[in-house]
Amino acid sequence: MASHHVVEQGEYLALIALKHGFSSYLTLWDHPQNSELRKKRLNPNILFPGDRVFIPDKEEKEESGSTDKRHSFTFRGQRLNLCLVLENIYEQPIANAECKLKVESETFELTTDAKGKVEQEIKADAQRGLLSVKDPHTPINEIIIPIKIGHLDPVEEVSGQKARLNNLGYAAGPVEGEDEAENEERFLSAVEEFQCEHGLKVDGICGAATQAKLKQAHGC
Amino acid sequence: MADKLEANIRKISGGGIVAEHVPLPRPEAAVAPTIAKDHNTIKTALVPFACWRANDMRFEFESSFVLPEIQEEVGALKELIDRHTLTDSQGQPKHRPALTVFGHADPTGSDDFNKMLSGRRAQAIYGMLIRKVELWEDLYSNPLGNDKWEPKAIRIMQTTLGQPISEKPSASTRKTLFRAYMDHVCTIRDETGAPVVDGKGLPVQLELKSTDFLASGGDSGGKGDFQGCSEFNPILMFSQQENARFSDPKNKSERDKENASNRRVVIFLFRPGVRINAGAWPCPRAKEGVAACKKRFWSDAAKRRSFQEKRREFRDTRDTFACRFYHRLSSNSPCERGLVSFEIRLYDLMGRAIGQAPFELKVGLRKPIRGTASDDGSVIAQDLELPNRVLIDWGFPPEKDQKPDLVFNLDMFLTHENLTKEDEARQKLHNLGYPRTNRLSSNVEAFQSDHGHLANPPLSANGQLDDRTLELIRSVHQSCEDDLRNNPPTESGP
Repeated sequence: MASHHVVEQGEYLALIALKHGFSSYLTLWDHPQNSELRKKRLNPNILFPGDRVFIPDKEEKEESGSTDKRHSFTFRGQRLNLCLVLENIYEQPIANAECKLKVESETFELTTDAKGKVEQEIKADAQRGLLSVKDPHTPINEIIIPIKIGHLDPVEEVSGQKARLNNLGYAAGPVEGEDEAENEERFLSAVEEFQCEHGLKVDGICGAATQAKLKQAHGC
Repeated sequence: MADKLEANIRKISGGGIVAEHVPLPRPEAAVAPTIAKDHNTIKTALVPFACWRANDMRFEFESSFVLPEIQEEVGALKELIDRHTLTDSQGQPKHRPALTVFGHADPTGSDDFNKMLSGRRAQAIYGMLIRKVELWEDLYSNPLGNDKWEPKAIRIMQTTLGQPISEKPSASTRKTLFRAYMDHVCTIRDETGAPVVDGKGLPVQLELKSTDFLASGGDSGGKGDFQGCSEFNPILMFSQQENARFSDPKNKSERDKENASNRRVVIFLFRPGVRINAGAWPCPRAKEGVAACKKRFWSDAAKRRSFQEKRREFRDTRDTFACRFYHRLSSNSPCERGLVSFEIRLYDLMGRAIGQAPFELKVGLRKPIRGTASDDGSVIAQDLELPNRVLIDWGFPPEKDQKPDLVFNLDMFLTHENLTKEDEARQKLHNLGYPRTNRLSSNVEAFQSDHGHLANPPLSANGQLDDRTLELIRSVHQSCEDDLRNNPPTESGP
């Protein structure tokens, strides 16, 4: 039976597809019933809690229906790409740095490229990871960054703005607020600081121009 | 006063604070699995982990000259740096934390003048820590307003070092003098004041290198290593009413005292290995104007900088700093949280203030603070937690080469303002010289007979703590300065 899936925090389309037995998230993403969602979110991996994803009947799920695809579906072998770019405080890439990326039970030894980039295929249902980086320019410090895969909200949402500002080192406060006044101050300060460093009008309001710049600076 | 544990305070003295910040855990990075050219950028942030603050009392009044008593705070800074220095496999120090120095002026006078003045205090501290005598020579030979090192600073340095006093020493004499004085105040001392010696019997000093600072001394004007914040980041802003009153020139000295907590030098420490590129550092050099500061202001900086209906303190309202960049660096710092401060005037038995009185102040269980009162005999003790007991010993300025004889002493109880009227009277009377060990009614009676004539109609000495008596105790306690002058106490001591 066709149904709707209501997105929860931390869910991205590949994960939702897997939960409903689809080997490719594109089956859902390209479905005409999901055209509104596609228009609204642009990126199937950046959804917002409460978003509704149309789940078609399984009959329509695979056009080709070949045995190979079935095989991969049964083993839930679909992989997902995770790409991280590491920068130091002055937006200089942390290049040629040794990293260890632990995702769920897998550990990958990686080295950043000249642009500070690491890329890794991970399991499509991965949620948690831990990245440790040895910056060759600060021989003593190992930077350890816990990561939550699929938890990035759209940039139009405050939670998505905070998460991007935090990733970019602006300390915008916890994404789910606790102590209100203090967190308001942190968010305001992070927005203004970001605007100031990116040549935007400094007004503390994370409007369309700031959102666009934030998305660009963050990379998604 | 600490409402919640925000930091690990290592040391508080009247002269400053040394503390470690409680690190805010880096939030988990929320990232998206990627398609096409998308990526997730993760940037490291510049976050200080500890702070050091030297209060106004560690400087000559209105001057950048560092007083000898700063050695207490220098000792605490060395402890802090040592604790966070990474050593190699042989236990030799390898990487020290990175430092940057911020000077702050109070919100009186012009922004431009205060920018220079605050920069000069930062320069004095920075120069002292790395023994760069030329930076002190620069301050000496280019006076700014009342910040003149000749003759007082020279005299203090010579006295401290036990050298003969000479006016206007030559450039080469100054060079030797500055260096010897820097070494002296950066010498680590034990409880008794004796220099601590190392394995070779040499005195231990705190001496840093320019490469120990955040921009590694990469900029000849010290960009990133030391700077002045002008009057942009006060921890206390007067109310409109207070400001109006203090604008009257006859209240200048009171205003200066109230503003003492704003005049300070703060050092932030960053993890070993952290370095910045001076060119990308937002703060202008100590000798540059305020333009670059203003670029980093909060969008509502004008409001933050204006005197508002109510008095504002950074620890409560968090809206007194105009510079957002500094606010972000310091918002988690106990050095800027601002604890209670109070002023004590030191008198002789005739009720005359003793200028330059040597004193020793004990607060609670803390190590005693030694220092010298200002020319009008006042001592401002900052960063106190309440309630607390304060003991102070003081005396007359000693003759040359003599040890000070602290002939007077007093102990005081400091508390919050919401006391019962009996407790308030007990403590205020105690501070006025009616010992707490006496019965309250006898103290009230003695007070009434000593001061009752000041009230209209005069109070009778009945030992009753009525409203009019309490009112008079309060006003005498408040204005004890004038009162003591007019009615020198004869038996109860200062």
